[in-house]
Amino acid sequence: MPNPIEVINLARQRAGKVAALNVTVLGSPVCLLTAFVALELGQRSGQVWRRMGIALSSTAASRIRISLLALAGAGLMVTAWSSWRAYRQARDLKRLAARLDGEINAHQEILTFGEVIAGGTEAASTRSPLFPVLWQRVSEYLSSFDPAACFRINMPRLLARSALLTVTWLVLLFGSLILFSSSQRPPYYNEARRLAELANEIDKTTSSAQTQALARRLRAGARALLNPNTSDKEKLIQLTALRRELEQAEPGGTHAEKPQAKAAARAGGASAGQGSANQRGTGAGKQNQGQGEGGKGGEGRGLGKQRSAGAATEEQGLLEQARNELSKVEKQLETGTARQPKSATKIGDNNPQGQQRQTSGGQANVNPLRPGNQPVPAPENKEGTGSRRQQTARGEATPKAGAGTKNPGAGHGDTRLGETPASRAYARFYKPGEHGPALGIKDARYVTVSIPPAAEPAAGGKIIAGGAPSKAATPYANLPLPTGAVPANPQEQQLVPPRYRDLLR
Amino acid sequence: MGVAPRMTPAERAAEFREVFKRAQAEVGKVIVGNQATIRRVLSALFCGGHVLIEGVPGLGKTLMVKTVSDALGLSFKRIQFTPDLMPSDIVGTQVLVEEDGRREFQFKPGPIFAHIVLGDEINRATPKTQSAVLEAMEERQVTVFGNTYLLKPPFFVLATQNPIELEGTYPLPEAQMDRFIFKVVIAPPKPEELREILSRTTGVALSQVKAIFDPPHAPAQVERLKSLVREVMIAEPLERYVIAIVTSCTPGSAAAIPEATQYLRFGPSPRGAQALILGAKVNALLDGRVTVSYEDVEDVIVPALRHRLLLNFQAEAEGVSAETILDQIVKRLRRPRL
Repeated sequence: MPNPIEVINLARQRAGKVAALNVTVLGSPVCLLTAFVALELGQRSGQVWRRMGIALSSTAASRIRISLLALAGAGLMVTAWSSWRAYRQARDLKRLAARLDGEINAHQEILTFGEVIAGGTEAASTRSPLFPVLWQRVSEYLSSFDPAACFRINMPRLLARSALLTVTWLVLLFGSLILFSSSQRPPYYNEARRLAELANEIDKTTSSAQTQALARRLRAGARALLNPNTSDKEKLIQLTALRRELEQAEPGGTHAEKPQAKAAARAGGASAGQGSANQRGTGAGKQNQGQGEGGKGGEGRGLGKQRSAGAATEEQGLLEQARNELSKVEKQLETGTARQPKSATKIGDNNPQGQQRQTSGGQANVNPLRPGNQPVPAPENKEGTGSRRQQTARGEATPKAGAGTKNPGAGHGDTRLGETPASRAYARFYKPGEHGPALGIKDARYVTVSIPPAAEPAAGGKIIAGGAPSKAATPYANLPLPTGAVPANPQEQQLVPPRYRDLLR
Repeated sequence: MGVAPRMTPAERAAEFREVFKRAQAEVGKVIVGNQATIRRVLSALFCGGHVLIEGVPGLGKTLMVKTVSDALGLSFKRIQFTPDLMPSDIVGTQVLVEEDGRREFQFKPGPIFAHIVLGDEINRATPKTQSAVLEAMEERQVTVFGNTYLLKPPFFVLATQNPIELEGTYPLPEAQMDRFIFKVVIAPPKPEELREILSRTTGVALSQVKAIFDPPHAPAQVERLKSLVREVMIAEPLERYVIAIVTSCTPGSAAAIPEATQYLRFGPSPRGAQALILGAKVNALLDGRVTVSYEDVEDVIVPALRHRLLLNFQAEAEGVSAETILDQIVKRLRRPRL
């Protein structure tokens, strides 16, 4: 017959270990994962930025890293403490006895036994004379008891629970990080994103190793632009060097000498109509075809590409765009007027650039002080065909300021100096009498409203403004009743009940 | 069975089970059915408490008590409670005795001086007479003319109460009800039990009860077994469980169940908790254990508490009984977790 106290002690040790292991396996992966995410935050942020267009500033990333590391450390400490606590609780004699009672179905005999022996030798004198019977019965109960079998480590179930917890935590963590990143944009974010976007496009367009290297440097420049630990002066130096590389890569280097490139560049940033005007200046007849096909301004850049003479021209256009972007950023760095992005955007969403989509032909977006950003020659801004309505009923044309006429605000300077607008699908307006879904005019710079002409009277009739007031169909007279019709004696007084007197008064 | 030699604890526990089962079997020779009632009566005897038996006339209440005393070899007295019964008729009185030319008062013990006392239809006596029994039940002593006389142990009162014909009765006060450890209700016999009763009582051969203990040693034997009940161990969580049961049917307490608050005026006293634990200890011994389990406690909740719950007017108007409330308590109770 085994000694029940020894068996119970073995069970205590086993239960304590199992409980501690359970807590450790459950809590540690979460903490370690948090630490891993913290350490990999800098490494992975570049990928996230490239793939999702979401980036963290270095300061924010550093703070998050520290926070996550602290969280992981605290989590590990809590896990360790919880494990220790679980170990202690599982080893508690009374708890274990109650648990054994449940396992063996001992009708609280082991519980009572555990309570009696927990009193120690001091309580031995007050033990019931029936204690030997209890000892014998508990020994019989525990003779076939195997602590290892009772307190098993169910590792698959444990790992499944741990994995579930870890995945949940991971999702929450990344969700929080993305939300935080989306809400916290560093200075020059839009510009850096635009540069990265251009670099990607250059990568896709070109096959030359030299240009690809340029794209890489452009991307690195974009990243450097986002680095808050780098001073504006250093950024300016880097970007200037980068711009010079771009200029060297582009022989000629000015818009005047490369009208096709300029056209492509402007087509990427300006509306389709303006791109058409530019192309018209160079005599590219394809432009009119594209216009007739729909004139979707949002695809201006793509249309520009399609309409360009070839990949080389497109590459040149992209390089010029990149140079213009660099010029713009340089200007901002020089003046220290970095603009915080107003809203969380992603790569591919051209909303910031789209805010300038209705400006006149990209002219206002070109920094005239920078090489290659000279104003477009005047003929381009003048009315080209005379009937240049950019949109018609099926997407043919919409009257657009600056499309066919000279932009009145073009010579008044522009706060978006050097910014090349990216064209996008501008709002299409309905003609009088045309109906369709509601038009979104949010963020529109201005809206052209056409007042419908006066309605022609039908059948030679006469339209009279206003109308005759309505009249009652039944005649009525507002005359007083005859005096004799009032039977009440005017001298008669009716006493007002007391409860109404206050009301009347 | 004579005086037992020095026995081991295991032997004592086994002896208790054997005696109890033999007594139950002996009583069962005379009383048909109602085994649960017999068990409860014997449990109360070994707990050291008193039992209130309720049942309509003719169900064998008196016979049961008489048979228990015969089976255990204990002395038995019966008191028929009537409205004109005086306390001295129960506890005894001083009588003038002339002996050797001298006259002196001698105490003449009443029928309360017995090991097992049957108070038949106890609710028919006046409160004054009932109170005379109270002291005896609780203190195990009576006081007559300033002299206190101890009752010889074991002292066991079984009072019967008729739930009908309540005119001219004096319902037992709450204090007196509380002194009964159990209240058992005798159910009418089932048809097959009734047939057995007829065959036993109307035939030639009558059942004879054989005493388990020799009458001279019976009180000591019973006292020894009673002390064994007190030695049964109970763990602290079970004590908390008992307390939870008592407080859950105490209106006004934080742990009271809604039914208790709605239908009860008063809940059980601490004697209710004592009754629960003692009854559970007997159950444990009968089950071969020396420790109390939750099942042992739950088994005695109704008989130990049903007469300690004082229903309010709403409960009586709606026909809610104490048993209903206790059933709710049993359903809702959660065993304490460590």
